[in-house]
Amino acid sequence: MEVIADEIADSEPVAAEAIKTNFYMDDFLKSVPTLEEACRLRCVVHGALASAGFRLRKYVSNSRELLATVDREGVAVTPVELLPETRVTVLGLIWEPDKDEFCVKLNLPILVDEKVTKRLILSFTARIFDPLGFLAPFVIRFKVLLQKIWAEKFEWDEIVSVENGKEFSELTSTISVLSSFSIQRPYSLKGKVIEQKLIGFCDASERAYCAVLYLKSSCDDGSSDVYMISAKTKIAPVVKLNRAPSSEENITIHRLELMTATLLTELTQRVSGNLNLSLENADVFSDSQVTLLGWLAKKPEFMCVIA
Amino acid sequence: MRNRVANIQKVLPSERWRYCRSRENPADLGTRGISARELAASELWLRGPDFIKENCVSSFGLSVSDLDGNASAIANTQAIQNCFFANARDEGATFNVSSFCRLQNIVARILRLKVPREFEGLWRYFITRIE
Repeated sequence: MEVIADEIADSEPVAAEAIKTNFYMDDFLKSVPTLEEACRLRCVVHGALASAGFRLRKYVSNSRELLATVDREGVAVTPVELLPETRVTVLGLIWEPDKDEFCVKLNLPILVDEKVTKRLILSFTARIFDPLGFLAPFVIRFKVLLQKIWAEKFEWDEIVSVENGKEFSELTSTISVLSSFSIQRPYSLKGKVIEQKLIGFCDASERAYCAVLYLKSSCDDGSSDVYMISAKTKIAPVVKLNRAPSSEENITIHRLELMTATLLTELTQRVSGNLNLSLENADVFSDSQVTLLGWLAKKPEFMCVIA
Repeated sequence: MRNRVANIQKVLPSERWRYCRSRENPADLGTRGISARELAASELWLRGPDFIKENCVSSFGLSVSDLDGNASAIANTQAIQNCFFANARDEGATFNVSSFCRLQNIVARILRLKVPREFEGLWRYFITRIE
């Protein structure tokens, strides 16, 4: 694949770059602003790979026009078949090409009078596949619940306490609401995008901490769109139970706020790398005054290192 | 802790960090956890708080309005802080030193009057910047 890309690099630099960076195993995923670019890119990439014996098949697009240019056996869904309810799995997420929205895959078992054990809860939680964190505020409740059960030292197949069991059934009973949950794929629908900017938020509570990142696209007509790109949550580390709560081991909220700032920084760095965005104009927000004013707002040169 | 701060500042320097109110912070939802129904309907989570949609973001100034006090003083502080941060943005390039310092001074004084003892660290920060 790299060789093919290098071969066409001189005549078709865009397509060569796309072949190098937009293949995910054997799937080619690429998004371009206009239909003409898309058609051209498809033709070039298809031609280049076909010449080496790799015939790209099963095309899917949110554009009927593009699909119409692909020969019949090459498409997964013909333009006529592209119905609003058509769904394709893209890297574990569900994509509805016609509406151009992402959904989260929830193939969850239906629980009927089952014994609620730590094993069951963990298996249920692990089935929610949400790599970009769209459902993070909901999924964190499962994580917090699991941590609580862990702290209570339950065995894998032991039935959890009534209170925890109730919490779990309450969470699972409402989860079906999320099967209709969808998030728009394009980051902007209006005019030409002139500026893109990352905006991050972080927060911590005594149970968990969370970082979430938005992309703000400003268009040439002065309007702007803000969409969530990614979120990450972690549960707060458990304080060692055998130590006195007042001892040094106890993790303070301020420390958690700093951990969440670190988490946000990592997330921002990763996303900006993936989307080719500059960190120069990223804005990051926290609601912790101690973290901000006391630590992060200080210029690095005033920081003294204590060995 | 210092290492962590240093690592953060390597990627996102101090000028990039801003304050926002808890209730406008979408990450707050992620730490408290919300129900499936709330999540599906949450504009805050999916589209972010309203203030980021506007073009100029100067929400550092909002910190004071969270505190109790008389309304006009708050409005006053807010106005001063807004222009204070408008100025702060140009810091390093071509900002007017005397007016910037004056603004800082005013802000620091107001903060000292208004801010309760728990937030002592906050106004001390402004004062030290002036010194």
